[in-house]
Parts: sequence; C-alpha cells; structure tokens
Amino acid sequence: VGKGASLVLAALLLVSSVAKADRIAVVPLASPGREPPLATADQLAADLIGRGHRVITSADTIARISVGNQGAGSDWAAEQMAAIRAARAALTRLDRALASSMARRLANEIAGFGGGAGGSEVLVEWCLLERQLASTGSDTARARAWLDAAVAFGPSLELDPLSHPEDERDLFARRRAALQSSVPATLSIETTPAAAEVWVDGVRRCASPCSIKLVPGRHLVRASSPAHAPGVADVVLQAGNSVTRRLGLSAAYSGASLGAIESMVADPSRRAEGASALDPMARFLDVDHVVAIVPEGDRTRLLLAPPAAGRARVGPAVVTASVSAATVEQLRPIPSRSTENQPWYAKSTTWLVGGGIVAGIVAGVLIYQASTSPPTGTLTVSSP
Amino acid sequence: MKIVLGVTVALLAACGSERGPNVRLIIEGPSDDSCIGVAGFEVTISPTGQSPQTRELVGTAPVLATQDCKLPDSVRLEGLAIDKPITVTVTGYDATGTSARVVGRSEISNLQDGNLRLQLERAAPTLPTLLVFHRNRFLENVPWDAIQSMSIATQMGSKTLLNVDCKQAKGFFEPEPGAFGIPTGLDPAGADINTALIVQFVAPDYPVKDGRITIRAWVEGRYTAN
Repeated sequence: VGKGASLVLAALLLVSSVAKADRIAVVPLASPGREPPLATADQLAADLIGRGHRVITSADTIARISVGNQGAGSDWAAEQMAAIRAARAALTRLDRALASSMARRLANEIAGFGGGAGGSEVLVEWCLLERQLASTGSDTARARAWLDAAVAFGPSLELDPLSHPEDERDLFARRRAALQSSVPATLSIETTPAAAEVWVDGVRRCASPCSIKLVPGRHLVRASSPAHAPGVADVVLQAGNSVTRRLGLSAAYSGASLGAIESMVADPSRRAEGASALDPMARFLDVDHVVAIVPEGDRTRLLLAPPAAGRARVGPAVVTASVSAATVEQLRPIPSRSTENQPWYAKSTTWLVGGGIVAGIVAGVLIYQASTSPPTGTLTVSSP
Repeated sequence: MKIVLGVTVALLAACGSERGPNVRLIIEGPSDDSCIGVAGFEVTISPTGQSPQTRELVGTAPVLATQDCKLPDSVRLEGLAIDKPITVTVTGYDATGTSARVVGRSEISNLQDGNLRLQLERAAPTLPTLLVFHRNRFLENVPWDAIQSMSIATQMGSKTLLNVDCKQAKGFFEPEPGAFGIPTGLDPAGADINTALIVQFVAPDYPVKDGRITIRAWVEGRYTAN
C-alpha cells in the first residue's frame, strides 16, 4: 500500500507540476504475464481529480475507445464477477479497506460500461457487495439502498444459494416483491444515429428509439452500434415516471487497440510506435495527455504520451524526473512521413524504382557484352 | 535507394573490372656484356589476328653495367585473346636507334595466369665497337628534337665513322651520355686510345659548332671519349 501510495504521489507531482488543469486520460496497460494495474490507475486518477485536473478514468477510457460491445460482453462480466468474489473474500478476511477499494473500482468500471452487455447478474452481485460493505459499516440506510439497487438491476434474478446466505436471499426476494408491485417507470431511449442496440442493466432490450418499462430504481443504459463508440447513461427512475434519455454516439475509435498498444509498449524497440498509437487515442478522447501505466517487474512504468499537435506538451521535467518504484518516460512519436502530397521527383519510391531500372539496364548491357565477347586476358612485359 | 546504388556500383565494378588471366613476361638481361650501350628497348607484342603493338622504353642513360640491363618501364596490353598465340619481341638499341645490341623473342601459345621469363641475347655474334661520350657540352641549350643528324669522323674529316639520322633514332638518341656502335674504323680490341674525333651536329635552327673529342679509355669493351 505504501509503495502504491508513493508511486501515486510521485506521479501526481510530476504530472501536476507541468500541466495546469490538463485533461488527462489514464490507461492501465497489461504487460507480459502481468495484469493491468487497475487499482494504481484509479488511485492516480482520483488524486489527479482531487488536484483540479480533468481526468478520464481508466474504466471510462476503456469504455470510450471500445467499439460496439467490444470488451463489454460475457468475458468482461466474468472479470467483474471474479473481482466481486475477491472483494468478498477480502471482506471475509476483515480487510475492509481492500474490499472498499475494489468496490470503488468496480463501480467505475460498471458505470463506465453502462452496465455492460454481459447480463444483469454482475450488477446485482456488485450491489450486494456494496450492501455487505454498508452492513459491516453499520450503515443500514445505505445497505437498504444497495439492496433496492440490486433488485432494480435484476428483478427476475434468483440469487445463487452457494454464494448468498438464506437470510440474504429471503431479504432480496421480499424486496423484489415489493418493488415489482409498485407502479413501473418508463424509460425512453433515443440515439443519434438511430437503430442502436439498447442494453439496460446488462440485458439487450430494444433498438433505439424505444421505450421500456422498468422497476423503479437505478438503471444503467448502454447504447451500442458496430460503427460507433457506445453511449452510456445512469438513470434513477421513480415509480410511475417517464424519463427520456438522448444519447449521441460518437464515431468509433479507429486507432490501435489496447492489446496492440500493450504489445508495442512491451517491446522497447517499438515503444515509439506505441507513442504514436497513443496519440490518436488522445485526440479521440479530446485530452491533452494520455498516461499509460505499465507494470514492469517490481516497478511501474509511466508512459506519458505526447499531446496531439497544437496542444501543450508535457514538460521535459517529466522525462528527467526520477520516481521511486516508477519510471517516467516521455514518449516521442514516430515522425510523420506522409508522401502523398509530395511531387513525384521528391518521392523515394520514384528514385528507388528508377534506380532499379537503370541498374537493370546497365547490368543487362554488361552481361550481354560479356556473353557475346570472347574471353580476354592481360599481358604485362617488365623487368624483375 | 542506397541499396540500389550500392548494387549498381558493385555490379558496374564487377563487370568493369579486369577479367581473364593476367600474364607477366619478365625480361632478363643476357648472360654476357652485350647489353652495355643499349640506350633503350623496343617491345613489340604481336597477337595472332591483331595488329602488333610497339612500345619504346627509353631511360635517361644507356646501360653501362651488365646488372643494369632492365626495361626502364613496363608494357601492359589488355584485351588479348587468351586462346591465340602471342609473340613478344624485345630489342635493345644503341643511341642510333637502328643498331640492335640485344634481342629476345618469346611466343606465348595462350594466356594463362602466371609469370613467364624471356632472356635477352646478343643481337649478332659481332657487335659494333661502342663509343661513349657526352654531347651536352657541344649542344648547350639545343633541344634534342632540334637536331636532325649527327656524324662522327676522324680528325680533319678524313673518314666518317658514323652517321646518325635522329629521325630514325627516335627517342634512343636522347639518353646521355650517348652510346654509339661504330661499325668500322675503330679497333675492337682497344688500340685506338688517344684518337681524336670530330663530332658534327646538324640543327638548322641553332648555331652548333663542331666538337672535338679524344678517346681516353678502353674499359669493358667500350671506348670512352671526352
């Protein structure tokens, strides 16, 4: 914990010292054999936000650069379920701090993905984890609110008896019956462009524009289209109310995927290539800097991607600064070598092809001459 | 681009470089003292089916010692057919340019890598008696190519020992001191020491007086005069 805190503090000092209220996207990247440092990324993001910067957290970043339901399906749900189980195990070990941290990260992740597209079970389990945390903190009102949220997310779900004690299952069933008996709320979803898939609480419900009736309470909405970045909404519906949400779907992120960037950054010889891949991501997210966090042995490497052209650069102080347990590296992009607008004589391809043709002709002539003329020798007359 | 240029240069270098065997014919002096008095050599290479190539190799001084019987330079001829015989003739002339003192002839059946040797031989069983003397003190600043001819006669012009046509003598006339083979009039056994001789140069554009030399010595088969 102390190591992580010092890392976050150091990174915070570095970044905040060179940028005034920058827009920063934090991207945790995996490295060979190592998971993305999600917790460190979230800590860094939280501290940067606390110091006045505008930060897109890792969950939001990943959600926004995904296309359609990419990375938000059943695999994503399984990862969140594993994190929930781990948080519960931590709570069982009375490690409340770790469990709370994991729950916060889960909240960001799930909200950032608009509940995802992997079913409602993960949402229900997350709410029950939060309820358990509130209960162990003797916050009964909060515990009740999370129970209602769990019911609202999964009104038709039956809790797993192997994971939940009988009293919790009974409580869930009673509350569900109460909410289902209340007047449903109506949620209308409109998207631009239209015809996007509308997923509510992890379940596909309709194609936009459309209206659906829901159990009163909190609901997470995700509108996805194969050619656009998903739009998400977090709404709280009162019984009998009708709420409309309009979601604008932005053009999909067309840069290198996180997996591709991870592989480039992991290779020192291709790190500059990774920088160039982070650059379009910064433009897409409309941020000044992308801070990629990569686990590297017992250290963490912070890669500060260069800003897009015309924006303020992260100062050289970041490059030269030394951070305990972290290496800060200012990435430099590969210079653009566009040749589309160059005249033909300025293109290397022209000279390459021309040179090849000339060489071929010369070689052909010489070979022809050599093949047609008889072999000759040289005579030298001299004294010893 | 660099690769293309590199390949091109390498290709040109490879194709333009010397191909085929390279034969060296080494010329060795004769076993006797017949090479003494040679002012220069004429090398003629006669490839079969091609025009003969002749080169004159003239140094700054004639051969005055047996061990100095060497070509002043080398002759190199390229583009010779390797499967046809080549005849090489080397002739050593005195300052007259017409009197050969040594000669050698070699026929190379085909060019194969390696060294060949050709030993020069006395050009004739009896060579003209050699007279060596310096001409510079008579010519002063007269250039060699301004001289049309030179004659050597006994005192009072009673008997002409030698007439040299400088046009025929070509470059062989220029090495100093001049070494001339005197066909007749001098005792080949060295009995004409202290004989006075008159040297006359014909150079129309320059006033050259007749010169008088006296044979002073008979050393190693040649007369020396001053």
